[in-house]
Amino acid sequence: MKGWNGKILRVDLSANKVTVQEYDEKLALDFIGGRGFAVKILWDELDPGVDPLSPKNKLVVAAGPLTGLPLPSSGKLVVAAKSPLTGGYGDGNLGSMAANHLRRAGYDGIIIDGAAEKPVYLYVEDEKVEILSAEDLWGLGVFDTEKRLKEKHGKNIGILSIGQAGENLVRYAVIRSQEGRAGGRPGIGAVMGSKKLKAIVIKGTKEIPLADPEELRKLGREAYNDIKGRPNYDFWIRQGTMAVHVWCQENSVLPTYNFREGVFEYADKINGDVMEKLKVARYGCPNCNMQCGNMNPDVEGRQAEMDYENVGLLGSNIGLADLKQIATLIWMADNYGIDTISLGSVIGFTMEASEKGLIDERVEWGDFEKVKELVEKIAFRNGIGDLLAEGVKRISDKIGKESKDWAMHVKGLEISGYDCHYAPGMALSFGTSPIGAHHKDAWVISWEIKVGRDAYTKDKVDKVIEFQRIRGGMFESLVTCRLPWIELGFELEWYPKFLKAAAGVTLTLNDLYTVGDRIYALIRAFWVREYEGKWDRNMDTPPARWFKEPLTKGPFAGKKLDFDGFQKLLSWYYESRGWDERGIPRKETFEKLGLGHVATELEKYVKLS
Amino acid sequence: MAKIKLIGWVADLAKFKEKEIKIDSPIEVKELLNIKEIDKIDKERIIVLINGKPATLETKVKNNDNVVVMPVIGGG
Repeated sequence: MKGWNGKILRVDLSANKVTVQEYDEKLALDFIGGRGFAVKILWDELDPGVDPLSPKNKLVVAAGPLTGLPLPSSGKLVVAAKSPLTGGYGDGNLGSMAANHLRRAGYDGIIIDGAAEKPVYLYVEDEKVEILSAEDLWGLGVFDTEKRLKEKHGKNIGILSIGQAGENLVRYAVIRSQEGRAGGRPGIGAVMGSKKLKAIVIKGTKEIPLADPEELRKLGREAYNDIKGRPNYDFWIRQGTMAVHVWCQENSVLPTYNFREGVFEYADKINGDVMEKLKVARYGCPNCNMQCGNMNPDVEGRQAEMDYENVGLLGSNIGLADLKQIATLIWMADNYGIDTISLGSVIGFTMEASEKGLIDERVEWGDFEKVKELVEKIAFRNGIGDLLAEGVKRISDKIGKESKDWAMHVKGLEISGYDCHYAPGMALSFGTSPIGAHHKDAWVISWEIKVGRDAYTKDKVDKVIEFQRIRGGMFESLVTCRLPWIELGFELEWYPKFLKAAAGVTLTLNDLYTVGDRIYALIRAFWVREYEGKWDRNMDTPPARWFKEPLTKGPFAGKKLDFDGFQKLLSWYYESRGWDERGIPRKETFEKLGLGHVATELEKYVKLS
Repeated sequence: MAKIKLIGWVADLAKFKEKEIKIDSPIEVKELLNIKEIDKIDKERIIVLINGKPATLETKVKNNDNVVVMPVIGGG
C-alpha cells in the first residue's frame, strides 16, 4: 500500500506490551482512516457495556491517508474511545505535530488498551517504542508537561497529553497538543487519564510511502497558493474563527445565558474586532497556511487562544463581557485540559440552577472570580467541582425538577456555540451528530438563512446529510482539516486528486461519501448496542428549552422551535439514511453498506427493521 | 434612504460596516458594495437579506430598504 503505512501500533498498558499490527487494503478502502478506523476498532474490540473509565476501554489515535503530507491543513489526528460523558461513541480531532510524527514513524494509528499501575507516558521513535515513567509529570498542567517533555526529548517531537482534568477523570477532559490545540470533547482525555497515561510522545524520521510523490508535491504547492489567493484570506488570518462572533450576534444564534437567548447585550465588547486589537500572536497546526489560533493576553498577561467556540461559551453563555477575563478562563481550561465548550455549558447551567434556587452554591451571571474558583474545583473534583465535573446531563439528573429542560446537551454531550431557537436545520444537525451535540459534522445555519429559517422542509434534511457526509465522513477519515473548504471556499474536488497522488487509488467524492455513510451506520450501531432497548428517537432530540421557551430579545424575539416540525425533519432524516423510526439502521441498510455482520451482531441486542 | 449593513469579511473587503444611502433609481446590491474583488468571489458564499428576506447580489435596492450582506461561514 502507498499513502497508508498499513501499520497500527498496539500498546497494552496492563501487560506492559507493545505490538505492531499490519492491516490490509480492504480496511483502508472501506474505512479510509481516522474516525473510520476508530469506530471499526471500537465496534470490533470493545465488550458492550464496558465502563468507559475502566482498563477495558480502548483509546484510539488515528491518522488518515492524507495526514502529515505536504498538503493544506493536514497535520491532524482523530482521538476516540467509548465516551465517559455520553456512554456512546466519542471522538474528536486536533492539530498536532504528533500527527506528522506518527505517520513518519511508520504508523497510521495507536490503540491503547489496559491501564498502567503508575503514571506512564508512551515514547515512540520509529520502531523503538517505550512505556516510560510519568510520575514526575503527573499532577502538572499541560503547558508544563509539554515543556518538560521537550526538555527531555528535544523540540522535534509531537506530543499529545492531558492535564489535571484528565488525571482526575473529569468527564469532559480533552487531549491537548501544541499549547493550544484540543480534541476529544466527549471525555477522551479522561479515558487517557483512567489508563494512567499522561502523554504520548512521537518522533518519526521516515518518509511516508507515496504513489506519486512528485505529483503530490505539485498539487500541494498549487493548493497552498489557491488558499492564499482567496479574497477573504487576509481577514481570516486576522480574525480566524472569531469572525463568527459578530455574525452570530447579527443572526441571533450566539449562545447567551445558558442558551436562553441568541443575542448578548455586551457582544460588541468581546467580538472579533476587539480580539483583533488585543491579539499578540497567531498559533496553529502543522502544515496549515491559515492558522486560526488567536493568542490574546489574559488578565495576568499570559497568552490564551481565543477561538469562537471558547469565547461563545465562556463569554455570553455565562454572561461575561470582558475579553481578558474570558482569556483567563480559557488559559485555565487549556492548562487543566478541560473542554471549553462543555465547561461554558456546565457553568451556564450552574448559574441558572443557582438563580432558580436548585443548588445551594451562589453563582451569579458573569461573576468572573467565582467562575475561576469553579474551574479549579472542577479540574481537581473538589467540593461542588466533583458534581460539576460530571457534565450537565448528570448534574441535571441529580438536581432534578425542571432542570432537564435547560440542561443543554444531546446524548450527554453539551451543545457547542450556536443557539437554535430559530434554526431548525441546525437543531437537526446537533440532534443527529454522531458524538452528541457538536457542530463539526454539519453546520447549516448560513445555508438555512439563505433558504428561510422558518421552514421545516426536506431540503434542510438533505443539507444536513450532505454536510455530514463531507465533514463527518470524508474529512474525519482522510483526517485533514475542513476549514480550507468551509471557510475559504477551497474546492472539494482537490481531495480525490490528493488521494490519487498519495495512495494511487481512484475514489470519487461520491465514493468517499459512501464511506461516510458506512461510518455513520457503524457509529449508530455502536450507540444502539450500548443503549439496547433504551435507544429511541428522543436520543436525537435537542433539549426542551428551544421548543418551549421563545427568545425574548433581539430581532427574532418570540421565535422557538416547533416540536412536531422537528420530529418531521427527524423522520425524513431517518428515511433518507435508511434508518427506521427509532433511528436504527435497517438490516438492508447495513447490508448495502457491506456491514451485514454488524446487523447480525446488533440483532443480539435489538430487533432490526 | 436605504440602510446597508455588512458583516465579517464582506465588510472588510467593502471597507465599511454600515451606511445610509439615498437611492435615486433602484440599484443592484453589488453596486452598493463596491468590492473590487467581487468577480473572484463565489456568489454562493455571500448571503443577502433585504428587509429580512433572502435576496441576491443582483436584487435591486430601493429607498427604505434594509439591506444586510454577510458571508456564508462554515461554523468552524
